[in-house]
Amino acid sequence: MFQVNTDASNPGVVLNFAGGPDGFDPAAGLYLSGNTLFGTTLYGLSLPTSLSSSAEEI
Amino acid sequence: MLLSAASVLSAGAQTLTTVKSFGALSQASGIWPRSRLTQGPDGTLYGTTSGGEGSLGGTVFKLQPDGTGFAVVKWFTNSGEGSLPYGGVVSSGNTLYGTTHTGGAWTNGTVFKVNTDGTGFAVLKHFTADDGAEPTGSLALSGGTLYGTTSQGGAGTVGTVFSLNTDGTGFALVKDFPPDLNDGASPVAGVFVSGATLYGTTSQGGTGSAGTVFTVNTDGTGFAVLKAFSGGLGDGANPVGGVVVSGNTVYGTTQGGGSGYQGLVFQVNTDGTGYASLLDFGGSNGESPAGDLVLSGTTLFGTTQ
Repeated sequence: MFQVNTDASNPGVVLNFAGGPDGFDPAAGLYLSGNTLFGTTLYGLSLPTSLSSSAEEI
Repeated sequence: MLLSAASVLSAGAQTLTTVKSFGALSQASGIWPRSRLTQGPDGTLYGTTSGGEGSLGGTVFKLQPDGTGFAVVKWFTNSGEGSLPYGGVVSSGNTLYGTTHTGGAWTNGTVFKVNTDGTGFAVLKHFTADDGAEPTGSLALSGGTLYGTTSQGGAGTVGTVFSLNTDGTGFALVKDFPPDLNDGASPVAGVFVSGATLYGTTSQGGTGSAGTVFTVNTDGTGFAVLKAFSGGLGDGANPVGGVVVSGNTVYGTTQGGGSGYQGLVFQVNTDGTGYASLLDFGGSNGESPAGDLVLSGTTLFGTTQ
C-alpha cells in the first residue's frame, strides 16, 4: 500500500503485505472511512485443495 | 497443491489488522475478493468475492468494520442470474447494486440488485454482447442512475460505458468504443461521476496503444481522450484502476510503463493538459498498481500487486 501527495511530495510505502494471514496481492482499491482505510487481498491463508461447505479453518 | 483465500484488512496509522479471512469458514463464504469495499449508512461494509468454494460463482458479503457480523448477502449459485462479481457493490439505502462478469441470460454478465438483508435479488440487465459484455469494474451511482463499463462487447466488441436506472429501465450506451481502438478499448475499471460528466480509463487501445484516460458526458456527448498512454520509460501503460477527480484534476494509475516499467501514479487536468507522473513504481515501492485510488485531503492512497 502506497501513498503520495498530489504535488508528488511525500511518496512512501504505507504497508508491506507479508502474505500468510496478512494476505497478499491487494488487487482492489481502498475504501476510506474516517481515518481508516479498508481493502481486500486476493490471496492469503493456505487452504486444502478440496474446499467444501464443511471446510475448517487451519 | 494449495488454494489460497484472502482477507479483508483495515489499515490505520500503518497498523494492519485482519478483520476477516475468507475460505476458512464452516459455510461457503466465497473466495478471491478483487473489488473495492463500500460502506452503508449504518457503517456496515459490503463487498464481493469473485469466486467461491466448489461451483459457487462468487458472493456478495457484509461485515462490520471490526470484523464481526460477517454474512453472505448473496450466493451466486445459478449462472442464469450472473456469476463472478469482479466489481464491487454500491449502496443506496438498503439496496446494493453490482455486476457479474459472466453469466446471465446471454452469459455476458449482468447488473443486479439485492437488499442488504439478502432479499429482493433481481437482475436489472442481462448483457447481450451487442450492448456490452464482461463488466469488470464497480458501478457508480448518481441520483437514480447507475454508470458502469463493460470490458468487451458493444458494436465495436471492445467495450462500452453504460447507464441504467436503478429500477432496471433506461439502459443506454454512453460510449461504444469503436473497433479502430483510437478512443481506447477494454475499460476494466468503473467510472468516476462528477456532475454530468464521467471519467474513466481503458486498459488497451488509444493512439499510443497502451490505454487511455477519457471523459464523456452522461448523455453520451463530449467524449474526449484526455491522455493516450504509449508505455515505455517515459510514459505509463495499461491503466486498470479507476480514477479519482478533485477540482480540475484527474488522478489515476497505470499498471505498466514509467521509469521502473512497473507502473505509475499520474495526474492530468480535466481538459487534457498538465499530464505528469507523481510516482513511478519499480522495486521496493511496489509494482503494478491495479485498484482505484483514494484521495484523502491532498494525499493519494493505493495498492500495488
